[in-house]
Amino acid sequence: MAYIPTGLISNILSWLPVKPLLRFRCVSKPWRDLIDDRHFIRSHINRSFESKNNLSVILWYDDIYSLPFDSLNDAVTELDWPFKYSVDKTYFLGCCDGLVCLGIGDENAVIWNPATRKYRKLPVAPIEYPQGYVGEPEILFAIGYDSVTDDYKVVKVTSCGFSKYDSEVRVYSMKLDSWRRVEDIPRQHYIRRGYGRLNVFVCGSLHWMVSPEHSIVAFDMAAEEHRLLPGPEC
Amino acid sequence: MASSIENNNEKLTLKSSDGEEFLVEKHVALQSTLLQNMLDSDCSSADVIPLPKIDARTLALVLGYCKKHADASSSKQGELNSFDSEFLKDMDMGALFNLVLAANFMEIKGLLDIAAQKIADTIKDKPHQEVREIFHVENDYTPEEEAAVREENRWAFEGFP
Repeated sequence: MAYIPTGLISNILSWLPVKPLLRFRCVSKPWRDLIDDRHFIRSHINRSFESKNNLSVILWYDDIYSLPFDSLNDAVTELDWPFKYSVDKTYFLGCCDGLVCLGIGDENAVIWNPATRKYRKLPVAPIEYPQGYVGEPEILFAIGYDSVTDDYKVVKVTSCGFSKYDSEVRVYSMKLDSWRRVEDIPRQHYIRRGYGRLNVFVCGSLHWMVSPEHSIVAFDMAAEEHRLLPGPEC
Repeated sequence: MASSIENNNEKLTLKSSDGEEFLVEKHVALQSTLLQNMLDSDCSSADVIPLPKIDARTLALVLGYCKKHADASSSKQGELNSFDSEFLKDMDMGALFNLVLAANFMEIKGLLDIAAQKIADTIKDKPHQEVREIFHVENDYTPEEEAAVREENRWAFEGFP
């Protein structure tokens, strides 16, 4: 049979679901390196979006379930998420391009890829408490994608008491595997914890609803800056 | 569609690697970006265009695809989709490989996509050892290395040798 050059192999493999790709890492070292390559992974994601192949709906209701996007009438599959059997409660904090952000207990976050079943527990970010603060801060995490640096990032917002203090904001970069503190969100745009679990990543920014007049805080994943958007008119 | 192209009846000649000549209508040839670029430059359509990497059997298939897509560009997409799946049905791996190479060389994106996707569909449930043979890939792992790579995603191998 004809010899297929590497560029075409990459094209052919980009049509495959994740599971056979993981098996085909055993074909040879060059195949393993190709499948692990970030450019290949990016082209695989783009191909999946374009062709609507390999897409799943992730559902969260006490447990986490997945459902193939192209056959929504199928039964859901219950997933085994990392730390499922931990004593700490797990929170589903959103997903982006198939990566799921989970909160484990109050302080820990995990980035989990249900397709590869791999996960990364993020290092714990320090909290700089305001002077004189005593109490339990409210912490929320959310995941998004920075298309400028091709990096997935997790934003951590720590609020020490409603309307008393500004909220501390830190950003975790998957590429750098580290946290960076960025500008605080002012106290008047406090993200209530109940709302905090409901975030939407769209147009390169994470969005949360904040309490006054249903306005929206948008956090730009590339610039690592927040801004306030007017809420929809009800 | 074709009305924008002057001299719609103009034809050009393509020559396969095994010396067979194909007379092709220009609007059909334009499905190929390679041929389009050649025609846009100074290449005269009176010339015979050699395609030294594509045999007659494959070229006939490619041109069949191009003709259908060139003639049907204003008709329903659904009809083309069923043509595409029927076109590749029962095609063996050798023919698919030739087709994907030809589509890549002649820059026919639609054909490249469906042929690559068909190959992916055919191999996705095959064991990696068989895929290695299909693509003539030399196994450069030691048995220990291969076992270690396999262990990294053991769950994906359930039901596979």
